[in-house]
Amino acid sequence: MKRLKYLFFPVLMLIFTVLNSCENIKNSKYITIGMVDGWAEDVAMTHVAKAILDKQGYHVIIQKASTDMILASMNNEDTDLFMGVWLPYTHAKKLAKFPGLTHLGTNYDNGRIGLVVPEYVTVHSIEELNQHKDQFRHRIIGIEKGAGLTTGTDKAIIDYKLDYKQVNSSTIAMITELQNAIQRKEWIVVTGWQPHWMFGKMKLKFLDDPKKIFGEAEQIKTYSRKSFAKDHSELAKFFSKLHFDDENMSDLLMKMEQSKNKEATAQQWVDDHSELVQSWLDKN
Amino acid sequence: MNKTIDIGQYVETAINWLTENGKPVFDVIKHLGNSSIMGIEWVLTNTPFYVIILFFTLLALWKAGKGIAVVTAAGLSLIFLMGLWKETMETLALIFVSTITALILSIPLGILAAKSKIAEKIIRPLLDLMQTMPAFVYLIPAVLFFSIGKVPGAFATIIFAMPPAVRLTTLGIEAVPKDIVEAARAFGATNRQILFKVELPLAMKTILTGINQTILLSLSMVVIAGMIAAGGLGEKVLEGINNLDIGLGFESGLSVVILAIILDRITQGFVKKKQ
Repeated sequence: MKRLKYLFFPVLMLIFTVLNSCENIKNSKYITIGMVDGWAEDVAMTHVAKAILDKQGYHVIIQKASTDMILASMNNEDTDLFMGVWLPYTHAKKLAKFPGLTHLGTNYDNGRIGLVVPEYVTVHSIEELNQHKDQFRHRIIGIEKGAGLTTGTDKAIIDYKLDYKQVNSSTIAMITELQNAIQRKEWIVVTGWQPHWMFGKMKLKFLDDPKKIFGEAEQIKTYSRKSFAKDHSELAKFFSKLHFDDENMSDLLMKMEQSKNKEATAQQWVDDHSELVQSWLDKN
Repeated sequence: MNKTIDIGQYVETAINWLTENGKPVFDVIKHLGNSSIMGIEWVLTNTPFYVIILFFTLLALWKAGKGIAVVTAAGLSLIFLMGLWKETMETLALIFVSTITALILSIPLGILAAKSKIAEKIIRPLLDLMQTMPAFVYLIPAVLFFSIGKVPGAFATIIFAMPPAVRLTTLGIEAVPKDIVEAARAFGATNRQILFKVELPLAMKTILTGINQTILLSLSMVVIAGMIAAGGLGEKVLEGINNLDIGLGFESGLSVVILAIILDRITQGFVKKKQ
């Protein structure tokens, strides 16, 4: 009897494994999408895709992690999709590390990264920053260490010979600092990107980048694990067609930012844009 | 940034080699881990909430007295009313599997370290490394081996939560009075009998303290595991942080605290009963 007690747990695990395997065979309808929580445009697009696919009878699971972790997971053939790859500049280096990924389509064309200041700041170009370094307290408020934007900013500091230090913590800390500075009408320079709801919520502008350190317009793309298109050809088609223009994107981002329930907001947005969604779902 | 010694390069090479060549092994572990966590999660989320609250309340009443039983019932009801029940059960499943696995690995290691001087010399620095290496560092190999999801979360949690169980097992067995062991030997007890009939029962209180510490440490890893899509309360805490949602962050944090108090008092109760 005592022996049986020790066998209980392994047997339980075995039963679950068998059950789980049976489940996996019939559930090719399960789709996992990696998402970086805090990237407004990625969160918004991922939730819209989930709302559409759930209606089509799929079961979409959103996995929250950082960019590199998601890419590594896709490279292992585990996570199916990631809708937030910025090319040709921001994520080029990260993507080169994982050759086993497939490009499915472009979701948005006018992505832009760079240094951002509030509109009332009377500086227009990165080259002018050194003349006003005391007003900015020698600081550029950055996002996470290791992000493509952070690396770009480090390069900008060297190439423009800026007498500034980049302060890195997290995206949300950067936005909080920015909001506080605007409330107090202080000068502040942050690293930012478009599309993002902060441009709808606050009056901001990009600083000109004559040396093109931050590149030009960027595309946001969907990438998948290697054999995804083979397993789900109809979905590969859908993601190749899915595309937001400027108007749709800023409308979606504003609605997402104002809502507490992202899933419900995404569903509502899909219902309101049925023609657009239908054109993505068309088989031809 | 001049590097004269590049240890990181060797570590990276080793990890990459493991990732490429260990895939079949990791896949089996991933599958086993996923099934057991998912299975326990399934049981916990499909059992009606009042049954689970009742179970924990009775367990608390039996092991930790009336006061804690009231706290347990009230705390778990609060979690349910805050709408974080599903996440709490996910976290509980992750802790359960991580703790069980950590104990299966660490108690034999602790016994080994108590029995052999050489083993202790090897195990001790390893434990120091596991406990002091910043937990985020484990996330990188965890994701390379097991992708994102629950299993790498459990993996990182196990590494972080194992050491106290190993240390306290060793401590407990070393503290067994030598004359009792001698007496048992004089009556002709084998090594095996001495371990199971004399040393382990006498060391049990210390070992249970180690188990209690392991459970609490695995709880503190939950938020970090949330960064690699392990789900549960950790993900909710991060969601609160990433969206400047102070309310959500506080509520999920509070749920972690409630869970910690309940698990701590109940396991403490097991220790006290041993006296």
